[in-house]
Amino acid sequence: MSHTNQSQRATHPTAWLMIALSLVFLGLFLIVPLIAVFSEALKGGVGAFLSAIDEPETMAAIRLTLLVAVIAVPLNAIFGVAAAWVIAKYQFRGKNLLLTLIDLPLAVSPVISGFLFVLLFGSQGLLGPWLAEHDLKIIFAVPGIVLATVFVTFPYVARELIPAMQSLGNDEEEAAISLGANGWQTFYRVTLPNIKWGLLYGVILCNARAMGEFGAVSVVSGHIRGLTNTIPLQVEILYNEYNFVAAFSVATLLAILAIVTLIVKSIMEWKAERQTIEQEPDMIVRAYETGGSIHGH
Amino acid sequence: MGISIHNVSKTFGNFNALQDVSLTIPSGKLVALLGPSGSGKTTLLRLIAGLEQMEQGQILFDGEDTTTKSIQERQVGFVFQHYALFRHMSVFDNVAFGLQVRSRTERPAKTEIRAKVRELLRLVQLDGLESRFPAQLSGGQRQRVALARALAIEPKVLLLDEPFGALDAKVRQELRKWLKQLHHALQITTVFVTHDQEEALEMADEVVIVNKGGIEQVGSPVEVYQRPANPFVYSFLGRVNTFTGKVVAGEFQLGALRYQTEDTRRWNNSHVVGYIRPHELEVAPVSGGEGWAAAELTHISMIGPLVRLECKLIESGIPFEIEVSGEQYLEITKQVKGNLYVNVKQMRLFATKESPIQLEEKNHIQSVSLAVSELKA
Repeated sequence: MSHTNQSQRATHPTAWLMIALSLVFLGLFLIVPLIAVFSEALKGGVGAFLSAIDEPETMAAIRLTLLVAVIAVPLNAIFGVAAAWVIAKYQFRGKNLLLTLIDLPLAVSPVISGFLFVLLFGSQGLLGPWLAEHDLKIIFAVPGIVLATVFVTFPYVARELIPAMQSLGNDEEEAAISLGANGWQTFYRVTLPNIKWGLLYGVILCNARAMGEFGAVSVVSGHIRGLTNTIPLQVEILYNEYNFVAAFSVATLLAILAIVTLIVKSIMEWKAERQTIEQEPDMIVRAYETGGSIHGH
Repeated sequence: MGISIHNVSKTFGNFNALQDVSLTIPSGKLVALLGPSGSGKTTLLRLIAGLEQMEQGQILFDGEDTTTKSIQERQVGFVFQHYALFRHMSVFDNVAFGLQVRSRTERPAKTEIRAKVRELLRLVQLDGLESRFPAQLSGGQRQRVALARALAIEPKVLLLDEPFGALDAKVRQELRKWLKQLHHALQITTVFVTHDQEEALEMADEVVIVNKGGIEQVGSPVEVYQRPANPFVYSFLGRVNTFTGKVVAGEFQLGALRYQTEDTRRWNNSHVVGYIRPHELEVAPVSGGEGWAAAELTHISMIGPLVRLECKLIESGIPFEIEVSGEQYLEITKQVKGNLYVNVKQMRLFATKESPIQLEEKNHIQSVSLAVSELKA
């Protein structure tokens, strides 16, 4: 996760060319669209922007998106920590299978993931009749959206934590246990502080994806206005209705979420990097040792 | 507290880490588990701590079976090879950890914890560093924080895994002496694992030599060094020359080389391997008579106060080493013309069929001269 930016200072013409190229690329594909989103949204002035967002259907979409994120993100945080814990700290049969399964949602197209749930819970689906009998609605309802979102976003926390926990090893946990700590104390006082930055970053990525997910949610949602539309779906509907100002206004919400995610990510990486430097003992130790501050005699 | 280990076995997959090991560790002693890497010494230490589950056998603390006891209940202080300090906690919090995680009823008051931590830090000579983080400490300081942390829970046994492995030579030397003094003051049964025979012989009251999942010999440093039980111990505890020869009429013979004692007479008419430490060979510029063999000097190296002569027997070409003092060396070089002559002062015989000396281990271990510990012994 931490990128060591210790590359040498770019002076060579080739380096300049590469930098210029990537800046142009970034500008064309990221900055310009972002500016476009905001300028389109504010075309009719701040008033139009705000009233576009203040539509009841849009507000309902925002509420639903927040609800989905509030359910999906904590679930996946818990799952991610648990999965990373067993994968990093234990040896067992089927570990590679578990790793592959965690990656599955990243490999499968979100639309397919959505269909998976339709096939399972839809009225023609495997569990459809049983659900209908018990008057439970999953597809084209909020539970389906939550399920699809949980599925699509579950790799993020685990993927972020596995390498971090693997590199930390077991020593500190064993030390804690030998000092009399129980399982929870060991996790809460020793493991968690060591993985907190990775965990936060995973949670933030997971959250961004949960709020922004389109494909899988689109399949299971049924696009019922004011009921099963999330922010991305609402943007699509508004756009298809040629209501551009409203579409872009709502889209700015997701754009802001993306920007906030990136900022928080940078802060996290900066913190995590500082932590790894602190944890990289030898660099500092040598300085101390040459200082001769050893008391033993 | 005394520890008795009865018929303990442990496997990792197909690898037999320990096979039917029994050992008694007397109360209050400082005991070294000494062996090459992969010998099972660390596994044994971890089994005592409860960090590893054994397949077979029993470990008793003061006669009480610990098999069903969790690590938390065993009250062992464990110092990990790389210290395993809690990196996000200050030195103070590291040392206080074992007290702070106690249940409310057993936990000492805050002021008590503070006083205890202060006292421990004074004991390990780290007072004033309590607000530092592990990353801000030197290797030796970290080692002592780990020790203070382990001592905070008032362990009945202190277990140390390669306690000085990650330190440079000078710090290691200081810490060894210091730990020995500390043990003397605290009188806690202490077991440490090491692959460094010098460390084991210098520090321990008792040395347990572990090899291939079994125990080769247990004894005081003097015992194991002077009376190794078998060829493995002989070669593991220092440099050794091996001369394969025959005992004829109660006398060991290898070419012109002769040696006769009570011991050799017992081996009459058999092929044997003689184990001779480099200082147990006599060397002279001229032959001293019967039993002396001519040798060619191939290499000379200075090792502190001693000079190591690498030689070859003229008759058979068998290589060997002799260690002599600097003065002796000068004396010899003054008078020598061509060949040297050597004579066996002392030798231990083992049957040829006994386990061959493992060369890699020998090379690995013997790179350290034993001159120091030898003098002490």
